[in-house]
Amino acid sequence: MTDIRRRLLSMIDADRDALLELLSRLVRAPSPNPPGDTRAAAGVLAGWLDARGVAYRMVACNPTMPNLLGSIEGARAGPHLVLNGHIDTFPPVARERWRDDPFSGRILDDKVWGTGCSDMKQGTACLVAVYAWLHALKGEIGGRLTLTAVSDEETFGPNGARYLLEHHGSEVLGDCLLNAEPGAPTTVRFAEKAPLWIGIDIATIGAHGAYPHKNPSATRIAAALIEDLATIEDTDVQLPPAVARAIADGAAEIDRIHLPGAAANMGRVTLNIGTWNGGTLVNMLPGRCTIEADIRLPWGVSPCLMVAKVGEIVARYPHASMRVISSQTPEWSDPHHIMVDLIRRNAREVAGVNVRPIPSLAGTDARLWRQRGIPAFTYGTTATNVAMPDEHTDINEWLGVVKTHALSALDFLSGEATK
Amino acid sequence: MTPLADTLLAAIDGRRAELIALLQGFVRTPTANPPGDTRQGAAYLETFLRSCGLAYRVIAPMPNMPNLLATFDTQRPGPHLVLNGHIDVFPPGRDELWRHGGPWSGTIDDGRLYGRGTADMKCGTIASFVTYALLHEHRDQLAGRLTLTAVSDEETGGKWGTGFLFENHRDEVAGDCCLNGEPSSAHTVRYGEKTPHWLVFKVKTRGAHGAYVHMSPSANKIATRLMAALEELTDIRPEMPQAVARNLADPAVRKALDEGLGDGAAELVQKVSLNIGMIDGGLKTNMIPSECKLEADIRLPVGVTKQRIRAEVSRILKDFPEVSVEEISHPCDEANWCDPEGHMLTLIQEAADRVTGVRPVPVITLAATDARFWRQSGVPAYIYGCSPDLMGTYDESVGVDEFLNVVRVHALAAAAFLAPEGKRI
Repeated sequence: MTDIRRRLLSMIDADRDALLELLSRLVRAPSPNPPGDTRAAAGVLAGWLDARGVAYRMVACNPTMPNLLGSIEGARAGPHLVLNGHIDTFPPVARERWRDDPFSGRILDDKVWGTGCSDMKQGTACLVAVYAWLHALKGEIGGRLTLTAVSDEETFGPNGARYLLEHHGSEVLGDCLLNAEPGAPTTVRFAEKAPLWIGIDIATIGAHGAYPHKNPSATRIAAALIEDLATIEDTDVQLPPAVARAIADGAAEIDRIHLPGAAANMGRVTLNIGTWNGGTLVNMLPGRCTIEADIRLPWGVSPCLMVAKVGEIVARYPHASMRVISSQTPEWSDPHHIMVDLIRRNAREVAGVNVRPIPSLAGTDARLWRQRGIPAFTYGTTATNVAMPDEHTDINEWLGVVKTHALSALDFLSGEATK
Repeated sequence: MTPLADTLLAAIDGRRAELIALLQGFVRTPTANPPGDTRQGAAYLETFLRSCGLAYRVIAPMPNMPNLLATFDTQRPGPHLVLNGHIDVFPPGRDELWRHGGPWSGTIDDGRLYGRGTADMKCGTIASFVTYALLHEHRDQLAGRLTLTAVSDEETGGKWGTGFLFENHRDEVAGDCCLNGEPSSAHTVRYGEKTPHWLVFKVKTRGAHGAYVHMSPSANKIATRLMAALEELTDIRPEMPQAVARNLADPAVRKALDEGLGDGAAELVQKVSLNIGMIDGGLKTNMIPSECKLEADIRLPVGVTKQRIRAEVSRILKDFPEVSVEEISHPCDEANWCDPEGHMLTLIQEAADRVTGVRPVPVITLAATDARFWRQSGVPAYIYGCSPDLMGTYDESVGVDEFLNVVRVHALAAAAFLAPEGKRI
């Protein structure tokens, strides 16, 4: 191991307790989105950088949703690596079913607990720390390192990653993106399925609830439509060969991490009816009902085709109309990119873990770089209870991920991979 | 001497414009329930009573939900008739969807008066008030006693309205018979009704991120299966009392039900019906919903007890370990009925025949009304009112002539019921 890599690892070891405290404090600064006020959590990250004399800017097109942006120039020419994490989290789920306060940030049983701890405060804290350590080594590295900690990944990034790419593109695009969304330390993600969100509104004339024969019921139409929509999951999919091979090779690991069924879902269209609301009063025949569908498209399925397919189903219901809330094309990066090799090598070295490149079920901001032709990879801790009670992060696993990120970023900027 | 019936009809004709304005003003007074603040509506009716020089009491166990109670005794022996109507109405929904100037417009267009509550049941409540005032004017030609009750919360179960009156003023409000002007259509008189059985189902699952559809069952998907399974309840066969079964087998009754309430109503009267009135599932589009709440309005026909439906629901829920259920309707109410060949029923039929040329047939109704409080106390209660066709819709309205006919039939039937021994009005 080279001297600079050894020094980086000892900096991480020396900062161990401070790093745990950073994650705990970040969880204790709630940033559920919606509503998406990320000021307090951004302040915690800024505090870490301030304490180490690392310069950054707060970029906030929406005052309650600030982003942290910073760049370091290395001592010599080299590639531009961009680190990306998000500050916002899912809203806390079922408070009464948590063992502790959903925002406790408690350190207990070698884990850190709380809403958003796994998705992705562990990852964002990791990247901010990596940025600060490499800042301390900037006289010895090449290329350029940029940090982006963004405010609204959970709601697709109009004030966060998307805003930065549109308004500060030359700073944040780079040559490669490294992101620390949770997944599992045994996998690096080179692709992700694309979410297609569709709202369906049903309007009927309504009536008194004792007269269900008089007019169609909006809730009943919705139930039938939901059943009908399930057929989109049977859509025939032709996966690109590189992606198909990665899924086939990683199937056992994918099912181990994400529970049986995950590998099968990777290559197919899935449907989740996220919200379903209808009616005014129990004893009125409901005159309106709204459902919101979260459809995930695998590689090779175009969103236009799926919108048309959903449209055909909705058209069978004269009282229903649809609107596309959000639509994306599924993208992938090269699973044999240098960054993948670096992560595999470093994870084996610091944590004894074998890492496989696989696609991801969930969407992340990494897609925004892929859409712009920049290879983007995510590597993080196990997604433990994300969007469920008792979300948490295992401390030892996390420290391995932190070291893997730090070394991989350093290697990438040192031209290590080309040696 | 002119027969009282003719006098009453002439009075109604003479006051036509005044009566229409009376209903219109009432419709223009919002009394949506929920929220259920009916003070303005009650004040409007009080003004009418005072203008007629009639005494009344305000009984308001809840300050924003006053009930009105008025009574007079003719000092001649005879039965005690009680008129009952409610002041509250359904919520208006979205103002902009009303086609006749919003929910409280009281607009009259092409012979119809529009607004929330016109049919259910401001038309009927005004008929009770006009009947009370007219019969009071002519009380010297009547026997027995007449009581008027206008209540605040029929739409939400009657706890602070008729229910409260029965618990605390039973001797004053039970009487010997109740006449109520809830919508019935000109083709029918209602002598019984199905009972609502309201259930809140909660589906709970673990939940997860929406991309991981294999990680947790979806509460919303389970809710669609539950909705389908609950449809089985509509196959339960009732055990009808003979008088009711006879009535429901009568082709004239079936025809009237289908004509008055829409095709399929005759079948529906004898069946358990199911309406999923409300559904609320999930927090966010991209999360697998961990909770879904479903509110079901189940209506039980005469011959299906709540005990039986509870057992059926429990059986269905055996297949749904993720689902819990809570009853939110009154647990003691049952589908109720009184004599389909009773005295008052005949009087209503005769009055209606004279006024409209249609002899309404006795039917069981689909919707619950406060008449159940009388029937469950063993007092016959009959309902005669306007068409229920548009109640609860954005076109809710009542025909102006239809309204006046309801007033006429109520006045004539009430007067006939209170006719002195051996006399016809």
